[in-house]
Amino acid sequence: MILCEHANDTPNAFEELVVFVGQMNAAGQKARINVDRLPQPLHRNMQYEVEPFLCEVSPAEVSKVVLLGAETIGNAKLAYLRTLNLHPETGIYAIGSFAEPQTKISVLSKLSYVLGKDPVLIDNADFRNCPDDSLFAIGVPAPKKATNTPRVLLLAPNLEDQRTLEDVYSVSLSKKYETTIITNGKSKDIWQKTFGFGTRIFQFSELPPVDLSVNTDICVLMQNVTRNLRAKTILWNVIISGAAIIDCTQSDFGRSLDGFAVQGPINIASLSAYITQEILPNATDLGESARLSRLASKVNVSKLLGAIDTDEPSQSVESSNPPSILFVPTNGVGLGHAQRCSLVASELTVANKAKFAAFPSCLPMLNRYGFDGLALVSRSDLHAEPHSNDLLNYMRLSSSTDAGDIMVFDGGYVFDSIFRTIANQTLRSVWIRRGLWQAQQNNSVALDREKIFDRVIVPMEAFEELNHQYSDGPRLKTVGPIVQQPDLAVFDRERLRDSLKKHFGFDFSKLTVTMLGGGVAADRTAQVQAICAGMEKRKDTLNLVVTWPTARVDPGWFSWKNSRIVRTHHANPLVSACDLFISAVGYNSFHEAMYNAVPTIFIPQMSSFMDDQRARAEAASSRGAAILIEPTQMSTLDREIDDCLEGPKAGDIKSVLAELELRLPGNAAAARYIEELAYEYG
Amino acid sequence: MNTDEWATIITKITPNFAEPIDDILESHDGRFSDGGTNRFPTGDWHHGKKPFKNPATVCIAVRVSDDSDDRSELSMRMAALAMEKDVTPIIFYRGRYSGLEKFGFRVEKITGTTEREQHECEEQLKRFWNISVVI
Repeated sequence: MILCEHANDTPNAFEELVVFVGQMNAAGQKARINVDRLPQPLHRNMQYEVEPFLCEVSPAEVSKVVLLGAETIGNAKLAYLRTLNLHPETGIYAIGSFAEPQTKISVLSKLSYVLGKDPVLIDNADFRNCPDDSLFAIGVPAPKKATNTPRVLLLAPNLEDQRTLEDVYSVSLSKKYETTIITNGKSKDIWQKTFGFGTRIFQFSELPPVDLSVNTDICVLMQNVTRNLRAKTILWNVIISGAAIIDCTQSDFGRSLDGFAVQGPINIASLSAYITQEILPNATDLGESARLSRLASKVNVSKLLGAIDTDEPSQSVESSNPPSILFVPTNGVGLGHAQRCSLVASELTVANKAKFAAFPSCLPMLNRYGFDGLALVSRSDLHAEPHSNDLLNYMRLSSSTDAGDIMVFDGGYVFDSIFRTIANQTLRSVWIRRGLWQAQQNNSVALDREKIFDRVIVPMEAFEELNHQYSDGPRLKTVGPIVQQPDLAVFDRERLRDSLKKHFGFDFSKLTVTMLGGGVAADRTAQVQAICAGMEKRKDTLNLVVTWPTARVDPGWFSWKNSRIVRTHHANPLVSACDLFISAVGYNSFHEAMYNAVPTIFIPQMSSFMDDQRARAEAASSRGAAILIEPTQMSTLDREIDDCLEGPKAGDIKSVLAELELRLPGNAAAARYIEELAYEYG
Repeated sequence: MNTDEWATIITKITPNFAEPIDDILESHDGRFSDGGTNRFPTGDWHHGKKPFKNPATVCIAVRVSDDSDDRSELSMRMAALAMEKDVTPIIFYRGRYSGLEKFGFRVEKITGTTEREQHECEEQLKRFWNISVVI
């Protein structure tokens, strides 16, 4: 293990250390940072970036120490280095600016004194491109997926300038190449406020430099990046990876790029035509010029590895096995995302047998459908930062995936762990994104993070007015509703009802199923109580109240004679066998009711973080395909139950449902889109 | 968690529980297979301790090993202990459901197909919760 330190304790020094360690790890080295030396507080992005590289220092495991910024070392850091009690054979390498001989002598003597051996000094001038290039950065090769459409990276445009903003927008519109923009936070914000979320645009610290450097065929340098460590590191990475470089900076820095960079137009508005006509036909040759340039050798990590007596790891051989497919459903309130994912996963071919990473409440259900699982850790209210659990999940997800695997995410909010695992493991990625967002919801983070996915599968709603388009582009694929329908080979309504009669010792003629949700968004204790009370007058009716296995059950519910409180992972056959379903209006329950023609009373659960359940219920009730009851309408609820069980209403609803023309379910289509991605790149 | 929150949990504890009916329904569900296992990825990452909102928070781990629906007695004992000693029990559980989730206890699933994986999983969670005592 290579323990990396910075002589300085400023935030900029720590960032330099984290970027350096990230680059070293991308080069296959086990470079680590002492977990006890993390500065506090640490920005959220930095917490995620440093998390994979933390270690508890054990002297026996440290083969080398690399010290950055060595010329600035002070007594406190020297004292700390001494406490590490490094073994005598541990190699010490100090990287710094040693232009003055006195600096060199001073660093050498101080480190020799505290560590008991002479360090190897490495002058960072050896890695500089030009005299004013003061930040130490090394480059690593970044992976490239094969593709038919070339990818253009616009690096460091200043979008706070209105003219540049408009010109870059015109450049991004071309269909002859895919555009990615990397800029500062303010520029990104201006862009998204002006043009929305349709462009792949990142800010410099959104992901580590190596993750932002992948898949670049052409890089347009828009500003001098000498004083921007992350931008400079990205530039070095793409040069080493063989991207064609276009210099639009009109600066000495740009002109110093060894002659392999071609001069871009002064007027950015004409850049698109320039790329299309002049660069694209020659991009491969230009990229090779960059990759083989003197600069590429100078800043390449392999040069540094040589200086610290470390071998480059041998190239790993790509596996010819089909990629693993990891489904990651994030259950919000109930088990809906996990259930939906399991329906899609069940349609995959055997070769692509899916695995799941899910919260513990979902795993037993997924295991019962034969899927292997990995437990994620739920959010903790005790921890100081709300994303503490997500840092742990980031580690678990990254450790469960290999480059080229496919991650299928189903959820409303793309957690950092998801976003970053896809990037740092270079996964192929799919987002199953259910719609019907509430109008007042702020979905800017969700829409922004869509850019990390190769494909977005939108399961449609049964009724047209419920389908809204939140984004567009070739990655978007719509499929019919993902819905579970009874498997007629095994489902036998009468046999199931007989089993229930026998089990409960209740010879019912009417069966109702009450399933009002997990109770997280809204407490439905009173509604369940009212339903159970109403059922007491019906000697011929058994009411089964279905709860989540982990949900709290009110003690009062157990005292009713005609109601039983049950839990199951197989609600679908139960719902299909009942005479009346009283339900919340989650995506899965709603579509099961519609597609399986079950007369239903819907009681919406509404919360700011959920989909618009009321709109769904209204769409069905306006067609006569269901009954909508507001949570406060408890008297009406009792009357409607009577009308369904005693009167003609349930029959009327069944007739409407039988006549509805519904889209074909999208389970299999979603699975095909995922499998296509598995083989798209050969 | 403060005493009021533990008092609320105590008021929710009941020996009643929702009756599992999977054994009736599973034969009517064509997708039922029950063959899945839960893995734990043994990676090379070191997950550091994460600070609590209240630095005085003390968590202890309680290993619960068997599947049971009625956990009212254990729940009551743990809630009472937590309230009196001002500690937060974190349940380490290797089965499907511990039966304690429904009363509001924090339950962490210990996964892994080997004893070593399960041990690593537990160690990772001990660091996350800053736990030194496991009962």
